[in-house]
Amino acid sequence: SFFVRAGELDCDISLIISNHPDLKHIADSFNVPFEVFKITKDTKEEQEAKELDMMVNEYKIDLVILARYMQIISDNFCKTFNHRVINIHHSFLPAFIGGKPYHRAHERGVKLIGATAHYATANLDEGPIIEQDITRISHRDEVSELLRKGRILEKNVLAQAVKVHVEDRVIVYNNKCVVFGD
Amino acid sequence: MVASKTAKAAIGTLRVHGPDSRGIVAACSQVLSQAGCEIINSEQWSDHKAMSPHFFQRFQFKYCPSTSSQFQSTDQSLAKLCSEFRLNHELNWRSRKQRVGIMVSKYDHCLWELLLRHRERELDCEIPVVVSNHRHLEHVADTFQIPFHFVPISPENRIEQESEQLKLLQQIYNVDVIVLARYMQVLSSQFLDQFDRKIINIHHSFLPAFSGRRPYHRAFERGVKLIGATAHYTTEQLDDGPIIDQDVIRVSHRDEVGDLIRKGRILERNVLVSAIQAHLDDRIIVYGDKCVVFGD
Repeated sequence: SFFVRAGELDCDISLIISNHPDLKHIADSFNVPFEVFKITKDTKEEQEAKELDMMVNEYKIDLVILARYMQIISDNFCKTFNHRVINIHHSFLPAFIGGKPYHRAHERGVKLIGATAHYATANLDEGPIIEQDITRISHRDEVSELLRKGRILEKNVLAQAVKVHVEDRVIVYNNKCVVFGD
Repeated sequence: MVASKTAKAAIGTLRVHGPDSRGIVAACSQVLSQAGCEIINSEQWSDHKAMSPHFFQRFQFKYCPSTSSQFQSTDQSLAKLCSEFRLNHELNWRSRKQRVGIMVSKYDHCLWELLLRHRERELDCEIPVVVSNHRHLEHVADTFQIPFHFVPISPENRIEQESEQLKLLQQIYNVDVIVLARYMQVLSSQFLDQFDRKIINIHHSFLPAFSGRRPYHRAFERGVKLIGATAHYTTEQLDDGPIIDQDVIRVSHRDEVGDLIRKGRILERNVLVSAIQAHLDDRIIVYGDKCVVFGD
C-alpha cells in the first residue's frame, strides 16, 4: 500500500520503485516516476545495485520509504542510506517480528494490534523505532478485520514518522530515536 | 397487616460454547424460561472462520431464589440439553459472592488498588486472604482487616510451601479464584492444575513483547514508544496464557527506566482490575488459548 498526503509532508516524492508493476497507476495519478525492478533469489544483488545507483546518482534521493515493500534489503543498502530508510512494520514491535504478524496476533488472542515505523537496519525489524501506535481489537475481529484496522494504523504511523524525519526532529542514539517536539 | 414476602430477585449467568448448530439459542432460552429465569441480557458470537464453526453465548438472567430444587432441576435440564448439542456450559446462580485470594510479593501498587476498589464496592467479590512470600505488605492487608499469611519460598522448599499455600487457599479460605498481584514466583504445574483458568496474573508488558523478566528495562533498551500491561490466565507456559485485557501508555526518549516503571504501574492497576471485573461478571469464555470477552 502506498500513501501520499499532499501538502502535509514537506518533501518531494521523486521516485517510486517496486518489484511488481501493479501499482504503476497510483504513481501515474500523482505524476511520479515509477520503476520496476523484479527480484528473484539470483537477481537480488544485481537488481539492488541498480536500484541504489538510480536512487543515489540519478534521482539524488535523501530518504527511502519502504511502504510495505516486502523484500529484505541488504547490509549494503542500509549502509548507503544509513538511518535514511524508514520501514513500516505491521505489528507493535518487538511483538510479532517477521512475516504474517496479523495472523500471529490473531492466534495469540491479543486485545490490541499495532504498527511500528522504524529505520531499517541489517537486522530485520530491529532498527530504531521512530513511532508506534495501537488500536483495540476483540475476539469478534477476524484476520481480515485486523488487516483492515491495521492498514489505517500503518498509514498514520508511517506518515507521522516521515513527517518527523523530514522536519529534522529525529536523532538516532543507541539504536533508539530521540524525537523532538512530540 | 400481612407482611408481603417478596423474595429479592437475584441475577445469574449462563455461558455456553460448542459446535455451532441451529436451535441452541432457542433451547437455552427455553430451559431458562421454564426455570422462572427472566433473561435480561444476552450476547453471542460465532467463529465462522474456524474449520468447524464454534458458537459462544452468554445469558444474564433474573430469578427469584426459591428452593434448591429449582437449581437442581435446571442444572439437570441444562446438562441434558448441552449433552445433546455437545456444548460446554457454565451456569452460575451467583447465590454467593466469589472468593478471591490475592498473592503478592513486595510490589504494593496492585494490592492497594485491588483492596481500595474492593472497599469502594467496585469489585463484587469477597477477599478472604492475602498470601505473600514476604512480610513487607502485611500492613496493607491489616489496613483492610484481611487475613495475611506469610509463606516464604526458596528453591529447596518450593513444593512444600506450595502445599502450604494450597492448603490456605483451598481448604482454609475456600477461594474460587486467585489473583497474582505482581506475585513474582513461578507456580508449578501441580499448583496450576488445582486452579485451572482461575488464576489471573498481571504482566508488566504488552504481551507477547517482553515476556519474562525485567520487561521495563528491555522496553527501555528497545526504545519502544509505547509500554503496556497484560492481564491473562496463568498457564504452564510463562506469560503465555489466554489474554483477558491489555492496555498501553505513550513513552518517549525523555523517559528513563524509572519513568517507564512509574507509568507502567498505572496501567498494571487498571488492566488487572478490568480483567478481574470481567472474570467476576462471568463475561469471559476461554477458548483454546484465547479469551472471548463479552460486554467489553
